[in-house]
Amino acid sequence: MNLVASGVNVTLLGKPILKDISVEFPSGKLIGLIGPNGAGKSTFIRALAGLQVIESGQITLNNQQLHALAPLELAKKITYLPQTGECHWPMTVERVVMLGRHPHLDNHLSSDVDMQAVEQAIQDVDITHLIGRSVNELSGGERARVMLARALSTQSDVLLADEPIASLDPRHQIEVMAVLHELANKGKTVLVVLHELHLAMRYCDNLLMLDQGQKASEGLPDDVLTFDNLRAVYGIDALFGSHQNANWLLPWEIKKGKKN
Amino acid sequence: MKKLSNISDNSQEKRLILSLLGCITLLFLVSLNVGNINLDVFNGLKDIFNADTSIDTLVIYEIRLPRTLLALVIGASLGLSGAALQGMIRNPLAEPGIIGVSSSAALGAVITFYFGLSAVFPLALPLGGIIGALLAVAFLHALTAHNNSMLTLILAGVAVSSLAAALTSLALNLAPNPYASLEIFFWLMGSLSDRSFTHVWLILPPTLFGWWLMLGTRRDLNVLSLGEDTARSLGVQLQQLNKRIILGVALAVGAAVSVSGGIGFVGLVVPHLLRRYVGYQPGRLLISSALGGALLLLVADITVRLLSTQQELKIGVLTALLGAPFFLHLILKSKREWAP
Repeated sequence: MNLVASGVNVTLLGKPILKDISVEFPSGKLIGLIGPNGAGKSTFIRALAGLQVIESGQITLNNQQLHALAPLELAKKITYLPQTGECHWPMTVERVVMLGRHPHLDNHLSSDVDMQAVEQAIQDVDITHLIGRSVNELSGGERARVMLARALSTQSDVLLADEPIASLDPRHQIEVMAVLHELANKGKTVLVVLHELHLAMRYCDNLLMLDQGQKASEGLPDDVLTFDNLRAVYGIDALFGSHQNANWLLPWEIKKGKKN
Repeated sequence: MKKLSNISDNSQEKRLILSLLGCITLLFLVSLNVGNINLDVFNGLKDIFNADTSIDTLVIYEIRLPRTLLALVIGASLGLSGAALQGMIRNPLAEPGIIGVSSSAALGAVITFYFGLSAVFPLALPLGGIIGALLAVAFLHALTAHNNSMLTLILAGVAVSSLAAALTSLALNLAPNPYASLEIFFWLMGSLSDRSFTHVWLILPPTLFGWWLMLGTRRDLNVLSLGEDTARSLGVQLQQLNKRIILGVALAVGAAVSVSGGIGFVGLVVPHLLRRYVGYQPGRLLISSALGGALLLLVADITVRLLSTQQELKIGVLTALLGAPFFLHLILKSKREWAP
């Protein structure tokens, strides 16, 4: 599935949030969407999911405009995982994960295929031990993984995840990034909003860096996460190094002087 | 992963529904048996089927059967509407009154009292109620047409409710004579006495249509538990869902209030009481709440008939008297249900 944004502009309450963003998300890649707070990442990912009305420009999936697809058809193709892991009722973990199968349940009750999808998603994010528990009893990190399992259970071709590892401990952050990378390796399009620049560098195939609603940089992690880009966009200095033929970075200090 | 089998395991829900149906059947017969005249219910029912006329058939057919059926239908409407609204607003405190439909239906009925229409044409009363409820929905729709926010809807509902209550008070205040005031006042308390099959037939079409609208939202309501953005991304058409529920509640509760007057707390308490037995899934709560509401109102109606008070206790007074402390008890007992 080829997800393409062309000249996307979004204005909220009279304030331009996204300015003329054009980018192509090919399948089989894990793409990191990075940028400082307020850069427009969440708005952009919501627009890509068809949840945010765009002022101008267009978003297409395999050359078909998103709004031309019926809601259930779109839901089968694109899965969106929001930042907030809200669940308003204390349902059990497996029932929450099962809700991800909703787009496929239009003509039947839960089948073996649905059960297998749920089972696979639960195993992929390592929450088998949480089965039977109410989502309200879980820690923030456990809850975030349940929500990711819910998103995976849809088995769509495109996954758009808004900060899925924000509340996880390092072990589970690495585990989730590995799961997302594996999904991309299977041919899915995976776009993930991240603030963890070290994991973005380690796991993402490509990065898109936004700043003040505009595309600041795009390309391979090594080309995007440069000393100059980090100074210009985040206003920070970082340390760089390499280990086992892979580069790493460590955000180190606030850049001396003003952010330009 | 053996434990996963409980996703599709709805045996607890089935047991709940069967138990509710069993209790309703039992109390249906009890309800036909309770009254000022002692009669043989089974013989009476047999005579009705055989088209024989006797005192027993007359009492059952003209008085007790419509009253019992109304208790079931109205109770089901209140329970179902409460569950649907709680699922839609994602808040266990929601009840049919929150969108102003109950008070608008009451206002519509009170206006027919005020102008004496109900004395000339008895069906003016329920018709006035239904029209009042539909006007409230039209007003809500106009207020929220360009705004999908749930907060706007609730605030608009509060405004409609307050306006309807104020106009009802005005009608009481300016009533042409004290008897009209008293009539309005007693009617507002809610009752199922002196209703006939005409009332049953009158409210059945809007009620059934309202039930159909609400029951069609079952799956979408489950998904809405994850928030509006997630629900939309999973293919739920939110505007359509909200419209179905609001119109469904307006038709079912509007029809109910127009015949029975105000009956509170059923729509609030019943879903709260049954939620845990359906795995806290708002969609699965709908049918159980409809049956629970029917059962609760039937119990309440039998109780007011059994209590020997000088004047028959109004059913709305009883449900409020028992419902309020019971609801408080439930809140204190089940804190875990208050999801973050």
